[in-house]
Amino acid sequence: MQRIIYLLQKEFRQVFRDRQMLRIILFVPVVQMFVLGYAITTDVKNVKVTIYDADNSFASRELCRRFINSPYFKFAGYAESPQAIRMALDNWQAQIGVLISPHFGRDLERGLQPALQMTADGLDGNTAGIALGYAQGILTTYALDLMAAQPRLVADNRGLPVVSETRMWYNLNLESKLFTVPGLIGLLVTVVTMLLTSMGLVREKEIGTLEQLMVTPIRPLELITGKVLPFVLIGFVEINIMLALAFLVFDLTMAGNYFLLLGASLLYFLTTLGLGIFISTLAETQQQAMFIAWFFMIFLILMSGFLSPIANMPPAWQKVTYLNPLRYYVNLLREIFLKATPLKFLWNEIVPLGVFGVAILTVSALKFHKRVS
Amino acid sequence: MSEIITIQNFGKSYGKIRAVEGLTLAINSGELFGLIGPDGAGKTTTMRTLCTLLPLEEGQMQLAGFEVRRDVAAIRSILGYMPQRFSLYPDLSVEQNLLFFADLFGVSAAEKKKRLPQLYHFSKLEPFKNRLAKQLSGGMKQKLALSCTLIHTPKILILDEPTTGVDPVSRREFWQILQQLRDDGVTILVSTPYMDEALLCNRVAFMHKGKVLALDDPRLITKHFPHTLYEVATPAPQLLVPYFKTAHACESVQIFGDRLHVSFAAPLADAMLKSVVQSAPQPVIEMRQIAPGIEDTFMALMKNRISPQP
Repeated sequence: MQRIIYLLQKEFRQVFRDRQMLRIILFVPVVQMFVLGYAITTDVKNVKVTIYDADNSFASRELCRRFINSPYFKFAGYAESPQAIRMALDNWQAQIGVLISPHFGRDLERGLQPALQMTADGLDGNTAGIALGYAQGILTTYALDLMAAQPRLVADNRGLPVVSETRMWYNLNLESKLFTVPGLIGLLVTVVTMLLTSMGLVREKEIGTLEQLMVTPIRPLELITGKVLPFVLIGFVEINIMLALAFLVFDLTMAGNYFLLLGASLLYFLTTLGLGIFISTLAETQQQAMFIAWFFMIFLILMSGFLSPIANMPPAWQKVTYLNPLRYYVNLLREIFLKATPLKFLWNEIVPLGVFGVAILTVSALKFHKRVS
Repeated sequence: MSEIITIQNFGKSYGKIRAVEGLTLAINSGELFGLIGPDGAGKTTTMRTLCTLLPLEEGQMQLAGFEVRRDVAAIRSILGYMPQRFSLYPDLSVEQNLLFFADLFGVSAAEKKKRLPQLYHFSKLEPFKNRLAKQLSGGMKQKLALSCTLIHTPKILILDEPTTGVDPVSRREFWQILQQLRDDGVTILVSTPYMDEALLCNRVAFMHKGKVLALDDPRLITKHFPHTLYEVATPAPQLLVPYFKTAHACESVQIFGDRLHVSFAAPLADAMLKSVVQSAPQPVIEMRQIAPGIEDTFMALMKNRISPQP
């Protein structure tokens, strides 16, 4: 026990001696949070739209006005012809083209349900889909307003008997930062704890001190504990820094319990530290450790549902994500952060997270023990 | 004298490569014992196994009565090991390194207070105690490494080529420290590639391809030289090598600086010697019989090992 404290003392001496590294440890996540918190966004705004209005009636101009004034669209000018819409999509001047057919206004008057063509740049399918949704929304309100103004149009019974009123709970304005920022905490903490642990251990190997430690009476378990604990502390410091950023920069408020969040993080650290130890038994140099850590990180991150929703993955891969501890941690972060889900509903995430953590840490510690003794 | 390190029939393979083969050695308490031999002779493997860093698979090893296989913890507490490569924390100061290892070895505060000045005294590192280890010179680094392995006052010291790459003055200082430690009763097992250092040991074992070829007092080891040695002074030593190799059935020809060392199975008669000198294609200034040195002995032993004599 005493020896763990000596080791910790040494570790902190080294961490604080290396100002450069200290700056990196503290600075990098802040920068990443700043940049990625804004950059990773699924919000679709300012979709460039061009309109060819072949009708130029009162009704069609009203429709155009709604597109032009919508916060989701950025009006890229009127197209001169139907071909011009295609041109605009081709040379990236517009992402969506609206073609209003001749006699649009007249047909509307007559209740003939005039056609309207919308062409979207499907290269980025996600954006295109969402943009079309917005456009649909504009059309719906337009139609509703028309019906309100001219009740006789409703008379032919094609109107909408049910009007949906949508409310987005937990994220009222569907801002993606609410979704991204808590997830980012999970990602950045993974990098710091897993990468630094593996590199810290491999460094001892590289400079030969691991062997020097092995000829002292220190036991492998004490050695691991002493090497890993500083990174737990650094991990918690980072979480707090990032929470502060989330509050101060991104204007988030945490709905749930702070200590519940820290507890979940501690469980998750079991996994990352375990992986860090595991990597250190595979790698001989810090470079190798970095590459192996990167290998694990890619899977952890991309299969966690942080970027692409797990529900969109093929069914077999969805099952694979149940093996990913980061999946549970990212879920927990979001649940606690945004929904203030009480503990009793979180066991489905907490139990697997804990089981994986304990298992990974145990296996890695045993492997490390075997390697050094 | 009692034996403090005993090795019986130690063997070790790395895959298909046989690193050590049937090694048997006994090192006496209070002895400064040298392991010499070319790279790949199995010196490091033997030392690391003694230090419990490599698993002991074949044979037996005991240190101060403890079994290497069984009493790992006990052995580590009486042993100081200094690997070939400098392996301390470059980003900690001299004193921090020393204290860290003192703490790990469980050296008490009172003992530390007594031990540190002693170590500073012989290593002369006191003025540099706040300097980072990475800023030390090669010789000082080795002295710091030695100090760290001595911090818990071990009974046995195992040093793997501690002076390789160190300047001659520091090397001499380092060996003075080793001799002093020996006089204080520490048993030292040291490997070295330097023959002048081998001469400073009580006994040396010459290892080659995992076996001990000779074991003796370094001043007496030359008696293992199996032939008669002649030194040839000539302005063109290189050009004479093939002459000696082919024209006369000599045992070996070695270039030693600007001279040749030529060995024959038996002393040459005077007339024979004369004719050898006269028929040489290059001028021979002088050719005379000399006593073999330690290097000549090892060269001859290594050669003989390939074609062993009865």
